[in-house]
Amino acid sequence: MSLFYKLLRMLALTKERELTCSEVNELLDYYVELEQSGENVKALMPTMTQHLRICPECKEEYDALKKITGIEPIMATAQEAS
Amino acid sequence: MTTDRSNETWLADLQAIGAQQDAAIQDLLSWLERRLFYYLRDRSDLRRLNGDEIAQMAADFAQDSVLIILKKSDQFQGRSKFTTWAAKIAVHQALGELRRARWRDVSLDELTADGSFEPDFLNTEQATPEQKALQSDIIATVMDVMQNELSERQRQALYARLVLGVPSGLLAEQMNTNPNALYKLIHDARKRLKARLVDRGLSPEDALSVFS
Repeated sequence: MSLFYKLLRMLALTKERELTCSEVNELLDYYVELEQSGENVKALMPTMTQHLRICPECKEEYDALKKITGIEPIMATAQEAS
Repeated sequence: MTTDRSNETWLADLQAIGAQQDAAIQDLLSWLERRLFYYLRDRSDLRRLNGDEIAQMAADFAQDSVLIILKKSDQFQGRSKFTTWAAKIAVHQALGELRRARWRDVSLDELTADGSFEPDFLNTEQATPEQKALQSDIIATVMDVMQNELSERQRQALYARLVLGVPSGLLAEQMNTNPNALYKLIHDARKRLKARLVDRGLSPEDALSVFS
């Protein structure tokens, strides 16, 4: 994806009211758990979803949190057996 | 070791004194350390590190995170499981450290030296001649709006974040502001840019279709 395309995509996603990174971080654990429990977070928390599409750092933290909390059963079993 | 405490039990144990608190801290530390290890091990930018180095990094991040979690435990509002909340803090801490390490020796002058968004920024590969002509018009319009409607500070911030990918915390420090104010600066720039483009009859959505 070219950088110009990224800029246009970012402008297309720009809303009048957006959450800041701090506000997103405040709610990130709740958002991830809702998603992991099968809730439609895009509909329930659209401003969170919009921020995650536009902010690479918050998206990276969201991905990491999902991974870290989602791999628990397999990893815990392997670790505790060793 | 147990990590299947309720939220209330986690808080009570971590805020207790003596062996009860020590056990809870040790449980949380181990829980975070293992998960951070698996996460860091799979990151492509850390493949140069061996298992011991990743394990040490995970241990250090977990240790730092537990100290922060203990300080902030009275701010936990119970919207999620306590361990998810704690993992969020550990992720923020660990990724913040990794970003700082990656950009440690870069100054603001280097970060914002070329705020002109060229030449790589304008790379439009794989387009037909007709598409290229349309793209050139759009690029000229966007560049003109950026040059004439945004402040130099807005252009610098947008360039550093979008083109270079500079972390907001570091860029905020370098620009003598804070991450929230930096987000607002860039948000205002995006809103202004979008509005001026629309004023000129060019919606970002329509423009996107020409570049996709």
